[in-house]
Amino acid sequence: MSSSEILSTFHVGDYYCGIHTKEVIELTKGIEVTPVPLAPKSILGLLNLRGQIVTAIDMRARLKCEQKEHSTDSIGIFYKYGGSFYSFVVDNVNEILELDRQDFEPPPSNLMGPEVDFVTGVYKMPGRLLLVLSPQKLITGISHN
Amino acid sequence: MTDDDAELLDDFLLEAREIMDKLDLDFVQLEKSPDDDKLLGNIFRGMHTLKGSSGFFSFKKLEQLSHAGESLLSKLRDKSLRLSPEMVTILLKTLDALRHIIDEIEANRVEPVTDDELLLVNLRSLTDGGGLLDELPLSEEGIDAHSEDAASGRGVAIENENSQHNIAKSGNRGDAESNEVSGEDTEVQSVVGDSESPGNAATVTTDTSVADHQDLVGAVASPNEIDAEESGTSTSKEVAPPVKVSVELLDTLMNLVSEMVLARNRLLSYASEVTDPKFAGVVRNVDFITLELQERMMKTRMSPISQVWNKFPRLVRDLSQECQKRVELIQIGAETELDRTLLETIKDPLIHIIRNCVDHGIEEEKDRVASGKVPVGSVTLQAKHENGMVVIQIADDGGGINFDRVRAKAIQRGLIDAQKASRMSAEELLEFIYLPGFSTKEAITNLSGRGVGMDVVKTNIQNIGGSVEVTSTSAGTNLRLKIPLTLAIMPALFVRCEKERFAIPQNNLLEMVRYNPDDESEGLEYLYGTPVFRLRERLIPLVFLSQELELRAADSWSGKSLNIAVVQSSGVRFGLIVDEVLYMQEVVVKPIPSLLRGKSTYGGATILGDGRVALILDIEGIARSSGLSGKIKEYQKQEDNDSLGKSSDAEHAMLLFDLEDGDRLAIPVNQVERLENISRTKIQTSGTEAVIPYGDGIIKLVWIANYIEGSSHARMADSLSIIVHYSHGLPIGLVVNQIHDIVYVPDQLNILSPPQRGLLGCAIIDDQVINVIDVDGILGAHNNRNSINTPSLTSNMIIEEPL
Repeated sequence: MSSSEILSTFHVGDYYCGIHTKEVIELTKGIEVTPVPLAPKSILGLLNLRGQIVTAIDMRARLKCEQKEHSTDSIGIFYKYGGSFYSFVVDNVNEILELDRQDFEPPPSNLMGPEVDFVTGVYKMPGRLLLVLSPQKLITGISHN
Repeated sequence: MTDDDAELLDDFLLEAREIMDKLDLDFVQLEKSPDDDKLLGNIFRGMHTLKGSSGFFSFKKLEQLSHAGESLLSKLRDKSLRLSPEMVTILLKTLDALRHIIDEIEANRVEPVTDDELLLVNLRSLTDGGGLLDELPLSEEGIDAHSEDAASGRGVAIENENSQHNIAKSGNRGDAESNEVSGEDTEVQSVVGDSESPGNAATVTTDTSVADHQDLVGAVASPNEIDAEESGTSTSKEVAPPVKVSVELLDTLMNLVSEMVLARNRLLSYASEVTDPKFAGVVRNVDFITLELQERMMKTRMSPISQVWNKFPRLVRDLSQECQKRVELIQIGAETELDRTLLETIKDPLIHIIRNCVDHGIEEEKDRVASGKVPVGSVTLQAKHENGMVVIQIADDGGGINFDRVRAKAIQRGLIDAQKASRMSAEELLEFIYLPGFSTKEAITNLSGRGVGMDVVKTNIQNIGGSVEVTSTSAGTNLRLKIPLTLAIMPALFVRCEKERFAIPQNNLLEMVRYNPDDESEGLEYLYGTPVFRLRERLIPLVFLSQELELRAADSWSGKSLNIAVVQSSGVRFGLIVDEVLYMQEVVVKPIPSLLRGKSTYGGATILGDGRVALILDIEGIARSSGLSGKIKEYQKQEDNDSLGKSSDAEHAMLLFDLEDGDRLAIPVNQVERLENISRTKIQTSGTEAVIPYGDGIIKLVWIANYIEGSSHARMADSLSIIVHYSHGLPIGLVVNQIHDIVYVPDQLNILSPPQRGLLGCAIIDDQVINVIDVDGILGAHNNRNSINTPSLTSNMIIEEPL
């Protein structure tokens, strides 16, 4: 097992999050999302990635952050799961970090709230915590709503 | 050999090659992992298929060899033998020998003369648990040498004699598939018999038999020319073997082509802003190629309907035996092509319908004779293309639907009261057969009668955007299925609701109506809490799309004018109120992502020319979620019976228009194909006819006023209103002044005396005289205008039809 892992990090509201880079297809700015009325709240809508219909997931809603209009600065993190494409729409993307597994900790047992379902663990960073998210859980959690 | 047989043989050879290529790989793999049961199973099946098919074509050597190979494999599969390297070697050699025979068959259409005795003996020895008997000769050389040494072999004619025997045998073996070993003795004997048969067939015999064969395939060739002929066929055969491509790859290609089309659209809109002629040329080129690519790509999705129909002769035979009736099946248009994904969907409905025809439709033989019909019933399947749809008709010449029994059943089940039932027309009664659980059959047989049937048929067909129509008389029942050519691309109407665009599939769309509150003739009312709209004396429930999608709060209608898309799904007709009607466009339908599938509001998504995604509405889903299909259906039925039932019985829908002098004229709606507005500058001539180009073809124009007594002709206006009517399959544009509305005209017209030229008669609606035109009469007069002596008309024509 490798002693380090590479994470794409991004901000959603006050949260500082990361997902494994190897799971990410691409990051795209200036995405045009078609809203889908009657869809679950966490679904921002549909968008087109080179002919594929992609479900855009509103990470603010997913992480139960304060709602805010997505601006043109919003970035879609594209991810493929179960033959379908998804895009996690976040406020902005930070650097890609290579982190030592030693600093990884499973989620604290008293972590409550909506995050507990899809946070696989936490990295202790200088001055803040980085939540490592599971893309699968982020997606499957919605369909069970 | 007929063409069909030749085709079958080609298929067989193709299949045999595929099997052998696969076996090659599998054997090598098997050597590496001899315990792989699945692999062994695959090899066994491959060999078995080869054996079965060669038996069918009575290729004796092929059959012998593959059978021997199969016997060994079956022992390996049963684990009574363990795979040894010798076995793999000998099996591979068998494969080589088989391949050689196939090559020869492909070249000469007959089996080659080879000596595979040693191979056979060794295969059997291994099967019986023994070892290799002799050193095998190197297979390639040995076989080749033998095949070229024609004189040493047995005559092909003799083998042909054995073929009958052979087929019978292979049939038996097919039955006793599981106990292959028991068939072993016969097989050995027959081989012995063959080897004993005198090798008296000389070169001459072989030549004759080849010549025979050549005759059979229709080629006239003397024995001397055979060599040349053979080499000719063998090269041509190698040129074009069909290629099998996986469905996934095709779908991906299809996807890419759709993308290409969208990219092209974007390019086109960009090109219109740029004036560089070079660039325009390149864009035009890309445009053409893309179009071509799209058309070809669509072709790959198409399959002939015979793929489904092939199973029906057997089905009808079995059914008719079970029902003890004699029924013949007639198939017309089996080559009609449609999307292969649709073929799967229509299979079950068709099976059900045919079952109905045979079980319910066709009467007992004595009843048929009594009613003067031929004793053998017939079921006719007919497929054809019609206006971009595929129409499949299933007609039987049976007793038809028993309407009295339908009526009785409907009353018995409490669907209607007796009084109403007695007033219902045949068409209305037919609606009942689509209800779940509705069956008029007294007893449930294992064939039918459970009442799960026509409703499922209808739902299935509607799910793919098709429709079902039934007509039934005592001379038979006729079912008409209309099915779109393909699901992947369909025309849709784009509408705007709040800020978003939505697409409504065209096959759900009936008409568009704009309601203006100032207009008093038609109105918006509330009935049982549902907003309804009175359209031509028929009440249509309304659904606000914005409310349905929860984009706007309820009851926010401010009394402004409304855009109503009148849609229909599963027999429910309603008006969908949208904010704006945008345009019609062909869309490429993509499935809705799984996360959103819980909602039935959307039937799919599509990517627009600007790269954005738009949602396609599922009209049936909306009807359901808005509670319409449950709530309105019953009430609408009553409503229909009261108001529309009348109009469908005794009235005809007519399109109202006028000519320059303001006379109100009408044409039956069923004679109108569509309405067009064209610019006068588009009119050209073809001989003595005025025509306009339309798509790839032309529409002939006929100025109606010239053929109606007392009408004067329209002045030169810049644009012409045209009613397109199809006569003998050709479009004819009837030029009129203005098109108004659709009205219902009583069946009985007032006939004027003397009859007026060009008119069938007149009706009075709202104190106004409406003249119904005689389309056939007008067209007849138009076609005869030069031969018949009507000088005024002819001179008129020259002036009036601007050239």
